[in-house]
Amino acid sequence: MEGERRLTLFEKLFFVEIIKGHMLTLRYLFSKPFTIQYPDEKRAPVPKSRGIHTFKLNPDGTERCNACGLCARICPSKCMKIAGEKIDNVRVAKDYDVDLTRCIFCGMCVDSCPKDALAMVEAYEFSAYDKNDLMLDKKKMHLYSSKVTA
Amino acid sequence: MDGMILKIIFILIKILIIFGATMFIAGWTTWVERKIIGHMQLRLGVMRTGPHGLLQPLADGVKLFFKESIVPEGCDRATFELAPILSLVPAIMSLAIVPFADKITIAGRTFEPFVANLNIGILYIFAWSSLSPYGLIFAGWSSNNKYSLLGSLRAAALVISYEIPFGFSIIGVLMMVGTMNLIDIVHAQPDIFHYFIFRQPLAALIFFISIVAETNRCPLDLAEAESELVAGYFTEFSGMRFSFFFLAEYISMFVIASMFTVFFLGGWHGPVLPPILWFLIKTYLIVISYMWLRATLPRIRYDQMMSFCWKVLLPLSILNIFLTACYIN
Repeated sequence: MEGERRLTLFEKLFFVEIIKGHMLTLRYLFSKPFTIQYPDEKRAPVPKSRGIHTFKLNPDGTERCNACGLCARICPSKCMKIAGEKIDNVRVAKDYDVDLTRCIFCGMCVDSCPKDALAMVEAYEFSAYDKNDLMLDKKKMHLYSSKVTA
Repeated sequence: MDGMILKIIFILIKILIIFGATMFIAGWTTWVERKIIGHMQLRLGVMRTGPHGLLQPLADGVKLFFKESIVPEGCDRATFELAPILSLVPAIMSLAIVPFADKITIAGRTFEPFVANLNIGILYIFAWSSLSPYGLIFAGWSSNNKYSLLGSLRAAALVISYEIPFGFSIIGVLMMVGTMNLIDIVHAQPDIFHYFIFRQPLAALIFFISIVAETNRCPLDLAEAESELVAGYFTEFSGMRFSFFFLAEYISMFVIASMFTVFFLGGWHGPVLPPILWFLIKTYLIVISYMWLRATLPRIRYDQMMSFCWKVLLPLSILNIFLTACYIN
C-alpha cells in the first residue's frame, strides 16, 4: 500500500513505536487537562456572542422601542409578538413577548431595529424547570438591560 | 488442642485481613484507573463524588448492590448462577499463597504474613488461573446471547493459548532457583542485581505480555471488546452478579501482578521501607503499568493475537528455556 511504512526488525524487536506511544501518554498524564468543571467553573462566552434579548435604554432610563414591529417581521422562527400603544403622542411597546423556546438566536431582530433599541447579551444558560420561564415579556426584557451600553 | 484452635482462629483472622484489604484495594483501584486513564487522555476522570471523586467506588458499590439482578429469558439458570462465582473464586483462592513479606519474629513468636506456604506454589497459581476460563465460558453459554457466546469463546481460546507461554516463561526462573516455593524464589533475589527481571529479561517480557492476556486487559481484552461485543461475556449480567465479574478482574489483576513481583522483581526485598510496603509498591506499579497500557494501545485483532501467541511468544519462551539450560550447565 502507498504510504504505509513497514517496521524495521529493530523496531519490531524493541517495541520502539509502542514505547513512543507510552511516552506520549506519560507526558499527557502530567499535563493540564482540558476539562472545564461546568457548573462550578463556567466558560467565558465569546465576545459579541448572541444570548438572551434585552432592551437598550436611553441614558435617562427610558426604552427606545417604538413598536414598529420590524423585529417580529424579520424573525425567521416567528417567535416575537409586539403590540404598540400611544402615550402622550409617542408610540411605545405595550407588549413585547419573545418565545425563547422557538428563538434560534440569529440576531436578525437586533440588526433590523431602526431605533437601535434591542440587544443580545452574553448570558447563555437557558435551562428552566417551567416552560413559562422561557417566555420573555416586557418585564423580563429589562433583566439584562443594565449590561448593555447604549 | 487449645493451641490448635488458637492456630485456626489466627489463620482465619489472617484470611479476613487479607481478603478485606484486597477488596478495599481492588475497589479503589477502579478509582485509580479512571483517574489515570482520564489524565492520560487530558480529562479529569471522576470528580463529582467526594473530593476528586474519591467516594466513587463506594457509590458504585451501593448502586450495584441495590440494582436488580436480571435473569434473561431462556438462559441456563444453573450455569448462569454459577458463572460469576466461578470467576471470582479462583481469583480469591490465589490470594492464599501471595507472600506479602518474610516471616517476622515478634516477642518470640514467628508470624507469617501470608495464609499458606505451599511447596508447589507455582502449580497452585496455575491450577486456579486455568480454572478461570470456565467462568467465562459458563457466562457466555448460559446467557442465551450470541455476542456473549462469541466473547466467551474468544476469551477462552485466548486464555488457554496464553497459558502456555505464561507457564513456559516461568520455567526459566524455576530452573535457576530449583524450587516451586514462592518464598524460596523471593529469597533467591536478595538485591536488585539478583532480580530475575535482569537475569531473565526475555522471560519477564513474555510473562508480562501473557499476564495482560490472562487477566483480559486492554490491549488484549478481546473478551470484553466494548466496541465489538457490547461487554462480551457478561453483557447479560447486572447488579451483584456483574460486580462479581468486575471484582474478579481486579483481584486477579492484583494476584498476577504480585506473581510478577515474586518471580521477577524480588518480592518484598528493598531498602529502608518495611518489606510488606515494598511488596505492595512493586505490585501496584505493575497494576499501574496495566492501566498505562490500556490508555496507550488500541485493541489487537483476534487472529493477530493468536498468531502472536503461537508463532512468537511460544517459540521465544522455548528458546528462553533452552538458553537458560545452556547457561546453568
